Amino acid sequence: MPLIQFRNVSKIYPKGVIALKDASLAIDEGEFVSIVGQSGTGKTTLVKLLIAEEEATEGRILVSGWDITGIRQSEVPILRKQIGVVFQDFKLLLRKTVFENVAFALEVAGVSSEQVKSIVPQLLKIVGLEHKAERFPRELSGGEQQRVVIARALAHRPKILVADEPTGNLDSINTSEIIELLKHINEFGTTVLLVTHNREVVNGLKRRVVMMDGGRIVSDQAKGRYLL
Amino acid sequence: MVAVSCLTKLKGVIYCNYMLLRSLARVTNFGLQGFWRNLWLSAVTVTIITLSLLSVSLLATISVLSSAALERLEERIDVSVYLKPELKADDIELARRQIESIPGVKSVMLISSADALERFRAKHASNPLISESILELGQNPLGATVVVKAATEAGYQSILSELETSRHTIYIQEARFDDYRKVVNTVSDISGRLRQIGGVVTAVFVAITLLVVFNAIRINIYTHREEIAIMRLVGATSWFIRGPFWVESVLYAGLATLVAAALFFPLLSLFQPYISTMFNGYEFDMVRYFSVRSLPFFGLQFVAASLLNVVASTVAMRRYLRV
Repeated sequence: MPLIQFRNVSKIYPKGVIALKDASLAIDEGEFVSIVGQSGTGKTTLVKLLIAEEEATEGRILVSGWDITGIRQSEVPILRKQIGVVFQDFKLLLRKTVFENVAFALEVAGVSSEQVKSIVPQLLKIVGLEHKAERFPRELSGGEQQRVVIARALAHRPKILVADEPTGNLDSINTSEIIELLKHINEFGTTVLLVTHNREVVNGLKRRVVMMDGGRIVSDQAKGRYLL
Repeated sequence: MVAVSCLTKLKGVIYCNYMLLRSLARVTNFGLQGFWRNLWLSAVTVTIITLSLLSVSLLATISVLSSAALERLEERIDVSVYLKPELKADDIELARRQIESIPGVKSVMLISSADALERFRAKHASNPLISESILELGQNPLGATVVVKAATEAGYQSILSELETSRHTIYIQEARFDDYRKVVNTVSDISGRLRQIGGVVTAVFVAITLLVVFNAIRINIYTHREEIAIMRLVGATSWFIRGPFWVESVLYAGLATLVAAALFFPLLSLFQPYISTMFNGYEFDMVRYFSVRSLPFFGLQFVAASLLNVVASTVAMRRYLRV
């Protein structure tokens, strides 16, 4: 059974604005899938539906067999512990240190302080920031901030890591570092969903590419390229 | 088998309670951290709440002062009943007893004709014409006086009515009842109006205070909207997100109450001499009055401010929790 399933999903906003139309998609465990397309083609809507930030107008969405289409607000935290999310604008707590930002994801889940102290350094080591644990986000570069977000997203050992334009604010060197990090995470078994419109990044990956246009999935290739 | 099951359940309960305690400790810690790391915003919020609490204290002070002033004024009101000068001592005593038995009379004081003359002389000592006139008369023209105090301010009306009946007029020479009625009615009116105006002013002021504090907390939450979104993103439950803000809200209320109390008493001491002058001849110590009642007075303010802050936080957060 696929890890993620979108079954004929549509998202129509008030006044008839169609963000997603009849999208069907199945992603297996361990895959690295790039969702590509121009701005406003429905990529981010797909992500928002997956993390239950938005509710589908039609169709069904399943994560590990769990139908999250009509998910209750009280169940959202459970879902979000299974899906790590990385956004273009970092979304870090600016008044917390790097360590505290990563620890926060564990603390909200009730993980003991001893475990937090043991897990966070490991996560920071994975993203190469173990020496900047006490810095505040504003003291880091864009690439470093994004790596903190990735470390935080991995805190619950999620089955899925969704990265929505993670390199949108980064230069080419930082971009390639972040992509390498995502590939590395995928090699450890985490399913990665990369949403991007960066042609070079997608073509360099040589992994599955799902292309969107006008709110629809227009192509889905196992080792695709971003051609548009 | 049953024993093992029970043990497992017990372990589960202990673990759940431990988790709950841990979460509570974290929520408190995050609340304190939020307060400290956002010191300027916290200081502004505490200042606004402090000013609001001081305003409430000021209103309470005015209310206490006006009540005390009215009480003193009401104490000064009495009805002097002038008895006929020809009455004998026994008749005077009988008249005194009759007046004392009127329902609503708190106390009566008898002033003999000699005392009445002495008081009259003292009162008009600066007027030689009056003194000479009394000397020319050669005898005391004044009768005894019965000074009547009512149990309640409203009681004067019925006492005055009763004194006008034929049962009493036989021994009363003169009583300018209408003058007393006017004084009593005026005081009663002022008292009633003051209470009404005070009530309206207090209500308006409390409403303004509520809005100011409510908005201060809303602004505070608005500045934290990103943080709330991130909390939701990493899987925090609603209560875990609300908790630190509630802690902060109670902290604001606690600090504001302490600061307000610390400022209130010195301010009161500063105004005490003026208050003493106002209550000329009466002992009324405002500092002592509020010192004795400081725990319930400021305790109530703390509880009310905490509740208001928590409600304001909850309402303001509701919008940002839909992430």
